[in-house]
Amino acid sequence: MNIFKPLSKNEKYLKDKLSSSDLQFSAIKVGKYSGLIVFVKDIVDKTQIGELIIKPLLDFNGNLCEEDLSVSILAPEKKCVYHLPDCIKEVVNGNAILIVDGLNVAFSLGVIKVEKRAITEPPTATVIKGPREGFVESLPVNISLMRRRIKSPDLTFENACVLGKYTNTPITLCYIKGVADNDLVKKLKDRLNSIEIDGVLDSSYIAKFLGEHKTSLFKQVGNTEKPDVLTSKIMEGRVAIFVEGSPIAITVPYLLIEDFQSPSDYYNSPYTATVSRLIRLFSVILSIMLPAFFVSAELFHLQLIPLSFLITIVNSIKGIPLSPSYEMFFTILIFEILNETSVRMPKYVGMVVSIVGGLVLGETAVTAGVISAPTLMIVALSGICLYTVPELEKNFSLIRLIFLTIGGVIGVYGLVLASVILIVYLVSFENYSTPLFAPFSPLITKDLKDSIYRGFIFNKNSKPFSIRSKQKGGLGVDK
Amino acid sequence: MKALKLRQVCLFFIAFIPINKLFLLPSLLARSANEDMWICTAINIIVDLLTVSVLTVCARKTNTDIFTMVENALGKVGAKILFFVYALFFMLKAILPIIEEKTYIEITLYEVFPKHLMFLPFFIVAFYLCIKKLRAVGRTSDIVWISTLVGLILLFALSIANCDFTALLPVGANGVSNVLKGARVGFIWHGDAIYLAFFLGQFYCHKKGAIKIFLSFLGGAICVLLFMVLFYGIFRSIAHRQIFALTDISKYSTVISNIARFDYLGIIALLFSGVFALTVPLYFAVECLMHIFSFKSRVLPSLIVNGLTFIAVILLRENYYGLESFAAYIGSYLSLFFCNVLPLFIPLLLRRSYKYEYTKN
Repeated sequence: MNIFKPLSKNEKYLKDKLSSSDLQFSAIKVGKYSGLIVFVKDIVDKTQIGELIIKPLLDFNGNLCEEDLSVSILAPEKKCVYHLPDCIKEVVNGNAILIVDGLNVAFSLGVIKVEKRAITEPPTATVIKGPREGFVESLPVNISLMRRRIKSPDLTFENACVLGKYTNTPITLCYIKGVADNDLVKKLKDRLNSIEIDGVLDSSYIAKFLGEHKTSLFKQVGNTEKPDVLTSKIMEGRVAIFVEGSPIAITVPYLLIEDFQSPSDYYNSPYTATVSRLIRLFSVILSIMLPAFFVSAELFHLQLIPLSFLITIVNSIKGIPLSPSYEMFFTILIFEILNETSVRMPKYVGMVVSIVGGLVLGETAVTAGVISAPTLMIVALSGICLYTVPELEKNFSLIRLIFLTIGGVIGVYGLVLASVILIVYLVSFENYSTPLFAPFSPLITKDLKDSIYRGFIFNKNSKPFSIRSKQKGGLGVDK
Repeated sequence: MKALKLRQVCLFFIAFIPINKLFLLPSLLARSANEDMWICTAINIIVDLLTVSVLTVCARKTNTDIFTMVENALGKVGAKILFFVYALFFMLKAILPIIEEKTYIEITLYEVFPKHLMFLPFFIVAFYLCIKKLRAVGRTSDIVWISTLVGLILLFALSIANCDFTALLPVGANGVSNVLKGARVGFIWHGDAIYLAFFLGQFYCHKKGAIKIFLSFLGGAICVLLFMVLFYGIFRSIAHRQIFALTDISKYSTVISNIARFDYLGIIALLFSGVFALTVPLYFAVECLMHIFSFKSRVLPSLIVNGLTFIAVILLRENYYGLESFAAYIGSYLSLFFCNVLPLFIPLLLRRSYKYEYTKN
């Protein structure tokens, strides 16, 4: 429906469609003509409306046409709108709409002013040495953080689409032209445009649609809250996706090894970084295998436990009413409950949880003979080890339970078989033509220098071959 | 784009050749040839290497896979008959190592367990592996070779101190007939060169690549040879009684006595590789069935192959010695024929296939 020339008709239409109490319809004078400004009261900068729009237009004495009016309006962001439904969209997006009597074009004026969270260090990715900025919920702020870091004309932000029937959330792609694969960008845009959803509240909503496998056990897209991390990822050829309202940017394609890497690995010595990565890998394996191995050894393979340790275990499990499997399950369940509670509870009662969880449940349960000390120790160690790779904590926790079930039923050979299935699942998994388990399988020796071990930055003279970027040029060439 | 990389073919042989030969074969060879058992293994290896040499030459000269090549050379019906026979052979080749490893696991790791059910999960895993494409096999090799090498290095390191190499002397004292008898017994456990025939056309092979494949196969084979040497060097005259020597070979190490049986970590690593090694013949049986019956999906042929093999394992579990006798005689000749003799005709098939394609075009 086009904009009418009589102002009253436009006003009636808009008032019918926009009946919320936070909307403002202000009549103004545009020289000798009448005008109407429509905006949402709480998300616009009223000072800008007054200074840059209403005040200049009071003295308007040009012709009633698009060009003359556009020049008179001092707002830096303005565009013409020709249809009433588009006017409504602009208003709900936080812009102000100016309609003048006798003119069948409206002006959308960028005067949005929303309270934003300050840029702080993200809680999910803290570093001792290195940048501490993190993304926020505002898309323009996030874009500005990236622009500050990559001062290249090839850095491209592309408004891919608007998703969400009710939320109309803008989605923006970010990549470096000439580095990111064009096919990947096209595929992502097609996939985003095919999404039908009522609302997008966070980037994780989109992440689920971007995966090529609906029932995957592991995530299929990467994510980060840190601009420096995102910068390094898109310089390697990945494409980032920003979602308005979410501080977490999505990156595609994703390699499993990414979550074993930390930003601090690149700000510290490569030796310490390598040791840290090895510790993370070892911790993950320990967290998955240790409870299952312990239970299967207790049930089926006592010969695997050293004699001195076996005596300790036997003494501690005397009188425990539960079988080793149930005991381990019960203890892991308690740990998971404490875990969930600690995330959700108000911080004022955090001390209570520590005391209840640690002393009452832990020590008292052992003293009462409900669970044994070795079991409690193993569950605690396993739980702590899971958090060395926090991004994959939930996945590995689930795998741990599966392994525990198999170990309790079949024993060590069952763990071997489960490991086989897990390895085969990982090596055969691909997303956007990128194998999840690269650079280990398929073995890409050139990429190993930033995998489990971290090579020197001046040896990192090519982009990763695991990601099919267009450019294989220097990342850290020592010139 | 080819399903495999040259590197993956090389790692395939390093990862999977040594595994199945470490359980029962050493004691059987010791029974026949005593201190010359390593010569029996060397003979098996040399025969396999001859086959590998022929196949690497073929790999350099062709981009056609074995199925298309045989079909072009022998016609559709001839190819189907041949691959049906190979499917049966691969299933037969899989049964003995599966029973062997099953028995080893039961004796070594478990005291009381429902025996039939214990190995059912293996077939579920084998089914899952068999439904994957060849690319997954190659990628698995990229990982599994580490497990094989770690397991072998750990066991060798723990056992070498107790090995008396002079026990292998004098060389050849048992006579040629005993050595050949031992070598004949060993054929059914060897014959891994045939897998290279099924990899033809699935990877790009240049001249140096052919040498790399040969050396990788040799490397895996040398691990087996070294195991045989260590085995006899440790057990000497009672070697023929040491069935399932994998667990015993390292237990006399002083380190084990002082700390604990951490050599089990090496054994578990080898068992991990062993799952893949046991599944390899089943995988190729599925490949053969896929091409014979033109199945659209790998699920049904995998179900058939693994189901039949499971039934055979259940039926034969109590008749292990009968199976062993079969393997030592008929099975070995069959293995020699299908794994070492028939692949020597592949260059001729290749030539006929070229002629067919030339005529067609």
